[in-house]
Amino acid sequence: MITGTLLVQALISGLLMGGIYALVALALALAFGVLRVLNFAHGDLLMVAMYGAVVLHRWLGLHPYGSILVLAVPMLLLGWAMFVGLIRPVQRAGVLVQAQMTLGVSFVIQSAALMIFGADLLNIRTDLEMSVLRVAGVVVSIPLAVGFAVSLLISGILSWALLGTDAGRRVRATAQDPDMARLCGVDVERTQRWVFALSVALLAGVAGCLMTFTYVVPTAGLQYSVLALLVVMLGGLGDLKGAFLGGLLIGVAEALAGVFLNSAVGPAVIYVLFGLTLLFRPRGLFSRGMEA
Amino acid sequence: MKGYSIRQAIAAAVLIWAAVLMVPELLGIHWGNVLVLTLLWAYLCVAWNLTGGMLGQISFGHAAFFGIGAYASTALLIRFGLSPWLGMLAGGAVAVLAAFLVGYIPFRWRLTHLVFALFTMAFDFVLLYLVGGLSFLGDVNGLYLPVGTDPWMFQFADRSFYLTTIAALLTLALFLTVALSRTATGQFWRAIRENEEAAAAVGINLFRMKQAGLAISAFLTALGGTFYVQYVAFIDPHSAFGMDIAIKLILFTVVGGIGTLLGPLAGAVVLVPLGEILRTELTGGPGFAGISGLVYGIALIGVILAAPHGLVGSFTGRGRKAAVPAEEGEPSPGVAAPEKPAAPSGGTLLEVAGLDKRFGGVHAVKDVSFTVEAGEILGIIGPNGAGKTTVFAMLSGFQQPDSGRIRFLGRPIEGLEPHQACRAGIARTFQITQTFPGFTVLETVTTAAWAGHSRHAADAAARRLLQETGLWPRRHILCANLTLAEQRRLEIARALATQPRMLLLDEVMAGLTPTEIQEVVAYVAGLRERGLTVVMTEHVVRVVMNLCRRVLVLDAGEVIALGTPEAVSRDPKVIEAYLGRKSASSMQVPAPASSS
Repeated sequence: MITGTLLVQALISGLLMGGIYALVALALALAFGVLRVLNFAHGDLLMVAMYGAVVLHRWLGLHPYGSILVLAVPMLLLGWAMFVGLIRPVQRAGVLVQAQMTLGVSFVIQSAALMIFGADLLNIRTDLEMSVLRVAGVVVSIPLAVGFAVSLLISGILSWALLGTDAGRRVRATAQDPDMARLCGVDVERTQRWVFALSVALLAGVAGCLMTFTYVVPTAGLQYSVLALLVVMLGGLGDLKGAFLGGLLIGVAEALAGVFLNSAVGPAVIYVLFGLTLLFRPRGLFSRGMEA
Repeated sequence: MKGYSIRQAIAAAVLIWAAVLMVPELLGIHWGNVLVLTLLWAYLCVAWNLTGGMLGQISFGHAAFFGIGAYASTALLIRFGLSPWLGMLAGGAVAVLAAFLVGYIPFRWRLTHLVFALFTMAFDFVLLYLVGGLSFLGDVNGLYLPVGTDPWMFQFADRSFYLTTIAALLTLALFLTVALSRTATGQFWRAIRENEEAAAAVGINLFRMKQAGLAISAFLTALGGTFYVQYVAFIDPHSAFGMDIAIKLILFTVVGGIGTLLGPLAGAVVLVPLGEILRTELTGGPGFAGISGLVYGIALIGVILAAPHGLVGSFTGRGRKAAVPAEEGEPSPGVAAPEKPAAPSGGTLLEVAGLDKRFGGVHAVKDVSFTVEAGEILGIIGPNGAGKTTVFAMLSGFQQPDSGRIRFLGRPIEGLEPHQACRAGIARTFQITQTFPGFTVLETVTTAAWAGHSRHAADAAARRLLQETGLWPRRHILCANLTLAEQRRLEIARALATQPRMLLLDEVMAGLTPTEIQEVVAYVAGLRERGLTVVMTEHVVRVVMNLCRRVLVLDAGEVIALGTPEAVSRDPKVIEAYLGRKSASSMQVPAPASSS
């Protein structure tokens, strides 16, 4: 029986979850916009940060939110190393060769996680996990709401940095036209290196929020990668605003599919949406992205 | 025209069957099972390589076809008791339909490779979740298959029959690949992989060729799916449609050498047993379940960084050395291809009326009308951005006009696709030369000739054209290694190989030295003598003035003058368009040589 409350409930949960997806996608879209590299290991890197949060909690009793700040630096370095060692050499090789490269990275991370942590679900128990806010009969999960707020905050800082600072202008110039940016004196490679490292570092924020209410398994990485990819294509390649809106949309679509459909079939709706977008709006729902 | 080497296929088959006979005997049942999986992966990679390698369309969603084959035959077996041998074919047929469905829009609209790759992936995920909701297919929990000993039901008491079956499938797939690579279809696939624009320009139907490639690949992949599910006697959505299946296909193939015959085989044969050895022999502990994936991933990264052509490709220099065969004798004049009779001189070959085209805010071509008489050379000149190339693109099907009519030989041809325009008798060259970089000069022209000739006639026609254009001594050079002047001559030879009635030359002199220009001019003049109709755009105005009886002048998308070179060159509007208003009075008119 589908009631109005249930629907509102699903909409709100979906929107909050979508905010978190939005940040994952934003990071991927940023990297694509500036490097033209579609990173299929994006979700696996997120998973690395999630395992990181688990380890920090087990060893030091650190709260997942605290681990965001601790993990940001190693994630930044990981992104840096990945760019220099693996992405940079294939930058001229075409988008599908880069996809193959990052699929290789994804395989390595997934297998390493399986070897180190095993196939079990790992989660972090906090008092936050089950805490909720009741507003007019609608239950709002607090960890979800915090995640949404953190995501909004980070996205806000990011767009301020891109629009309002000199470094942001260099990033946008590189995204627009690397050759022209080079002619204007922008160190394009350095910009790309920083942006890729930053896009990986941002995942620490997502991981901290996710670990307050969900779990991690070695196969989670691929799921998040595909999800991020889907959101980015929906928003339009390289379109940051589109990626953010796409994240919200996918969150809501997922929640509604969960209400109306057999839970096993529900996710199919999202991929149908994805497929239709690819065919009919290859530059994203808002047609502001780059040609895929 | 070389396809894949049949000798390589035979050698591979011998090794496969030697392994089939010896491995279970010498190494025991466990390694016999590993061999089954190795050959299965090799088979699936060979099938994937038909689209991913030969056709150049990377699919991330081949698990969809694998799963379709697995589920279709299982459903038929469990619900209707149908033998999996027949179910296998039924699954293959469903996979072919699925391939048509998946490829239809991406191929019809010529969406990019990335969109195709992601779309196949989306399709696979849709099936993955849909099947999970279907109770008669066992939903997310999966189905166990009946076990027995009836060979007709794909049940073998002797496990070695599974090995024989998959080895037979792999052998078939290898020889099928070789056979396909030697047909026109296989050659056209390679041409499409090398350069889609150029392939369309020589009359290759991109849509049909891509659909065919994906369908064959999907069919073979589905057979593998049926085999797998019968072998393990269990099926669930993730083992049939999981995306890691598609990733492994790509991984093994890329590591082995994408686009080569033996690469897909080699990748699987090296990596699958290697992963197994590491997993069981070195560690044995459950904590090391991930070691094979780790090694696969590292192998993929290492190959992309260090040997982009893969294990096989790097050994053989990408599998294709441009070997120079012994000098062949001069062709006897008798083998020259029969030419289409030239249209009677004087009739109207092409009529263009009110042609109009906009790109967003740019009105590239405005209400352009002109005719082309059979047997003439019409020159189209104009400053940069005048719309010359856009007019050509509309005549040859590469752009569709927003409005206006184009009649060729009395038939309306606006809205034709490039390959249809080519088959109707309009061939073009490209201003920015479009080659098949991995083809030799000879292969390029022969491929172009194949569309409209029998194979033997195509070889003869290619030889004649290469001799005429002076490229015969360079026939075994890869196109990527030609000079610009040679590429331009190759463009002309390739266009002529399609046996056109009308040839569209788009700035074929651009970037050439004066001597090279003279050679091309003489050649084009010779084409007219043979009755071919030529329309050429040119920046080198003097060339047009010398070659053409009539010249059309475009400026900002509009026809501003049409007439003899003498008349046009004195037209104030033309002078203004080229030199600006001020210079109009002091323009030095090039003296045109008398044209025939």
